Amino acid sequence: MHEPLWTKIVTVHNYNKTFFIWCEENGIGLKSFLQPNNELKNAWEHSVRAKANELGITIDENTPNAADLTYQESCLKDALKHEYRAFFDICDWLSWTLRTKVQEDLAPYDHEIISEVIPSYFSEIRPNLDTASHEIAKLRCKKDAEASDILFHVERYNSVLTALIKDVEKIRKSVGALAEFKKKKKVSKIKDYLLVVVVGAAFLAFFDHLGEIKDWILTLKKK
Amino acid sequence: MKISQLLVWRSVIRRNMPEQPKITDDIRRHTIEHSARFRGSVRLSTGAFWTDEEYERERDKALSTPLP
Repeated sequence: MHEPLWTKIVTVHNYNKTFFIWCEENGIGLKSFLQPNNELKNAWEHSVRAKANELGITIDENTPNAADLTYQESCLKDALKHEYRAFFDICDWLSWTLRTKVQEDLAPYDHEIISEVIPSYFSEIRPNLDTASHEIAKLRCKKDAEASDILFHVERYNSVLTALIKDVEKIRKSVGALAEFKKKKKVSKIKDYLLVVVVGAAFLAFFDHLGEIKDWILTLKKK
Repeated sequence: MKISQLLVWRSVIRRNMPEQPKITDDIRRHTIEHSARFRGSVRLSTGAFWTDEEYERERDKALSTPLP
């Protein structure tokens, strides 16, 4: 019974679990966040009500008769809405965690180094991070959506965030290359300075002894 | 099981669970203090969770700091 609704609940719930674990394992200070658990607790509560009705457990005089499909459906829709709220709470947590990680990893490097080592950073990763975190924050404030739209939103943000996680992991893997490139750039700058100093010193020496050189050339000609 | 007990659980089926309170530093302190009495997540028992205030502060900071 209510397979389409249950499918949505199961899908959203497991996305929640996936991102929640990622945030706990990779988040700032490895801290947990309790708000999504509160939403999941409420989702469980509504699911139990639907099941109680399906099992024919009578409750009180205000409760619909046993096996009232409309009542069960409304309970499951409420459960799905709580799963959806949990999803956006977790996505919000995930998106700012990703931003913080990128800020921390890339802070010591200038634009030139970043674009050299991670060519897609300025064209794809940064715009995606900005868009995702602001859109998710907006949807989190909105809280509710029609049950029919929920899976659409969730699938959309799942693909956006999964791509961002991959991008951030790519950045994390590039930290060594960034440091290496920065070092090389520093060495090449020092070489350039040294070259300027050596050439400059040679010119100075040349002009300083110009008179003596002229005399020497003239002596050579006389001979 | 007594009928009265059954009546109790049946009567709460439509009741909402208690609301989660605002997560504060006090709650964290109490959680750490009493963690030995309860079974559960190591993260929670060691106080490794965001308080509401901390979460909003860190989140606002992350969102308002421009990316490199």
